[in-house]
Amino acid sequence: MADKKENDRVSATVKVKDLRCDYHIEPCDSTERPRRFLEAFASILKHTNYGFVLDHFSKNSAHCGRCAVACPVYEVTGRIEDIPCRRSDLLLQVYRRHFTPSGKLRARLLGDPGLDDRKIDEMAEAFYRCTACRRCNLDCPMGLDHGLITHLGRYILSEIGVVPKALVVATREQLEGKTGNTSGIPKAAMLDTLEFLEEELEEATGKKIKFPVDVEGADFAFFVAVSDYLLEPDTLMGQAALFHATGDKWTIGSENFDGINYGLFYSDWILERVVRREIAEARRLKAKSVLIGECGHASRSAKGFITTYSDGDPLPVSNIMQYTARVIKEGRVKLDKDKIKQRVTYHDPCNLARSGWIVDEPRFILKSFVKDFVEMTPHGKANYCCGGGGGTVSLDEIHRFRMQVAGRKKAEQLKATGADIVVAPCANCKKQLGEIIQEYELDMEVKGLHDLILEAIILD
Amino acid sequence: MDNLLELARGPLFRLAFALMILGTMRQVILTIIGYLEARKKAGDKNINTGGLAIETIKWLVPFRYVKKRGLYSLTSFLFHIGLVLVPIFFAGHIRLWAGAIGITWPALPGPISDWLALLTVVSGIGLIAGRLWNSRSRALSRFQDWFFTPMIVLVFITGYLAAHPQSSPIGYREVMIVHVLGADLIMLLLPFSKLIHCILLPFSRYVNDMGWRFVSGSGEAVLADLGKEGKPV
Repeated sequence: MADKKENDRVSATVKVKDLRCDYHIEPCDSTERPRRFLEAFASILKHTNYGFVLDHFSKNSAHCGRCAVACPVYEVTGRIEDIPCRRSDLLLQVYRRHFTPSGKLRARLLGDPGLDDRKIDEMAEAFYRCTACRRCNLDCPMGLDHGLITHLGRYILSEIGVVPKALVVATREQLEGKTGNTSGIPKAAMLDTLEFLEEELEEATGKKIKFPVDVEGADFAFFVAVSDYLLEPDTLMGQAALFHATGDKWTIGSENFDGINYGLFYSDWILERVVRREIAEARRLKAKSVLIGECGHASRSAKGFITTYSDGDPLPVSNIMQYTARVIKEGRVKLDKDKIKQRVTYHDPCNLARSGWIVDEPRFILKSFVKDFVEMTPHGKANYCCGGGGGTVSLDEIHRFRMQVAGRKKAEQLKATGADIVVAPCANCKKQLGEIIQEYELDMEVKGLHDLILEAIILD
Repeated sequence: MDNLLELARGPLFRLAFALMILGTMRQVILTIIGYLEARKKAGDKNINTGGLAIETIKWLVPFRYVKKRGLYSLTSFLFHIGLVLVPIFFAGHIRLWAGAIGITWPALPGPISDWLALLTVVSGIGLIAGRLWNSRSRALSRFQDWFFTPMIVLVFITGYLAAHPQSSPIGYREVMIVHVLGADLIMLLLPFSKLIHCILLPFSRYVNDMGWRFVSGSGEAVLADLGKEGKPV
């Protein structure tokens, strides 16, 4: 409540348009940032395929500005700086100026001094105002993917220490900490939680439903956003109940049970290290495939990169909703159609839906047992980002920006559905949507898809 | 005056045309080589080539995107129809091409060429007005964004007048000189400006797709370059 008042007070004095995206960074070397930025940029160009992409974008960006209609941030602020192709141009300018012969020549003729601290600061904010939702890609007549430029911009910035502290702290714990996961949950605590959930499940269903841990040779090595172990017990229990019903073999790995991968948001080498740990755990378990929980970015970073970092013989990757849709189709699980009486809507996480990867499955699942299902407008591939995409949901310091700017379109959409429940599969979306519901005082609750499955599943 | 016209549609035309073809070929070849090199480096080589082709083709159908900012999108689409068709399929141009490269192809009927040209002129003026009118569009615009649309409109107006000398307020020769010199300039600049999207556009989806195919070990190599190997996160 205090937060709400604070927001009202501030929004009366600061216009939404002027809300900044100022995130905390860790103390770092702030000398010679332009030189260090260019060094990192040069090295990244040398070892990756980004140069090819930047060349193509530089040549083809027609500055038609059509992407503006797709950007939820620009739609709210109307700031020129929030137009996707303008934002991408910040980095493309640096590329052209410092890494192409024509740019170097031009700079010499015009006396352009090149990259400076001001431009770095501008990029530092711009690339985190963008939630990397890639909605603009659908509306760019040239078909350019500005989300990729945001990713690269953040990657280079992270190499000079400009990266949100919250993301680094979580990643540090995951890669170098004692617990090996972003939430810092010790293995023993995770095992205790599972035991507790098994008791809960028995109480609720009367069945002895197991959370298998470290079972070798299972069909699925299961990874969720680790925060689910703390915050989303119903989702986990729904998934366990489902596997109980189908009898398929799945397992959680005790050495690594975190599917979160912030590398997707800001760094290729973090991405690679996290994915490699995931591959190692799945191989240790001798699993036949990798199964990711509902979470959007965890799914995309596994699906998109396990092949890349497997060094041969990659394990197949799927998302739990694909599995659930399949077993319902095969008639292997029964759901009570009278259980869910509320009006339900579904939020498409960008990392699942934007590419068209997982759009139909959740709808098929929900419609199979939910009577009153409504869609948001637009939905599916063209959905609006929750406003916390690209890792920004973890940054509490930009709460007001997320609520008033990045999440405003989503709030309007949610309100228009009149739904009682919004199903959001992604852990990040869930947090953001929960906060939006509070901020805009919507009469609605956020649930995972398997929370509803848990309510409706009929176990013989 | 006649000499200038002869120069413009003789040697200058041939030079501009040759440079346009060579420059465009260079860009296409560079893109293909770049793509193949990137593919070689990429860790994941399972590329859905057909799916990307379908995506690309879908995008060329306008109905999909006129839903949003309909007027702007439609204007832009109409602008491009004449822009692509008239230079290639107008009967007068085909005679010119025949003289220059020795082959011919079927021409558009005269009235259709006329209408397409006028459509490009009107929509082109609309696009310029839009860019001028909207403060955000103004802020996005670079020199070349201001340069090409008026240039194209000018070439199309003079082209129309040259094809209809009876309705032209100025002399045929003057009109032709502006038309041919303008066209020469556009052809000359095409490979070196945003106009290259006319030929590189179909590659965009493939480039995006390749962009997200990372290179195994590249991040660690970057860390080594920057002397940050083994340093904590």
